[in-house]
Amino acid sequence: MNQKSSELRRELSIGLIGGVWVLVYFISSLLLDKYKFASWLGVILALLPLPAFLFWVYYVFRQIQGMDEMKQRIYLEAGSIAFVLTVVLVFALGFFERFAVLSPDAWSYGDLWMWLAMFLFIGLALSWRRYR
Amino acid sequence: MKNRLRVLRAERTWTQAELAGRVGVSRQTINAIETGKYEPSLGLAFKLAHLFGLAVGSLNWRRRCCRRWIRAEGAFQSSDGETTTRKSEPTRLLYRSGKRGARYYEYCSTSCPAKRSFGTRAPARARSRLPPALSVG
Repeated sequence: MNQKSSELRRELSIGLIGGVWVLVYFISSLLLDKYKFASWLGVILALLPLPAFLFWVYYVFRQIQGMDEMKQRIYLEAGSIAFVLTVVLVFALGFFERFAVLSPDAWSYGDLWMWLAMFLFIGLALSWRRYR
Repeated sequence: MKNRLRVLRAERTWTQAELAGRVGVSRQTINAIETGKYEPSLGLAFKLAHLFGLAVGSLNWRRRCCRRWIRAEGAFQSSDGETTTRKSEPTRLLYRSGKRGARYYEYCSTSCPAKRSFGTRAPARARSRLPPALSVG
């Protein structure tokens, strides 16, 4: 029970810090879309999500280090699956653009991180299923 | 053949959570090891073996039981004088002649999945262990 609650706390804290990062990202995007800023302020606002993201990555790594070996393997496999699927997506889009250039409104490489996150969840689900 | 972890745990009437607590992993990890879905790392295998007072190879790990772990056990004993584990078995070398010619195999038991073929020529480090009649130049 104690172990379960500590795991739940760990997952909640990862989600919470990840949520803060996404929130900072959307606030920064919203401000940049709505208002005109001086170039130096624009750069700062554009890069604002980066420290939050780096902290989140650091936090996730620290939490993974605290897990036992099977869970570390599950996360490693999930990361590998997500990386491979993202590379496949990038290749597919790259090859497709040899035929027709995609509209920036329809697709931008800035959207890639959302796919990466989704692939990571898919990888986690697959790995959990394998070892459950 | 499955590993003996579940049997050993049942003999001591420990729950999976109790065993997990003793070796410092989660209950899910113990469950995955018992059902054969996950092979423990060398470190965890040693912890489990020491907890049950057995040699690491004698827990019948399914895939990479044999050669690697038996050798590692020897190394472990030499680095930790206080540890009392069963003396490791030497790796056996087998010479077989078949339709495709003679081949050398290294293994620790006949059912060992880690059995490894050296082709028609035994490796230099193993040649000294071969019976004289089977020695190759």
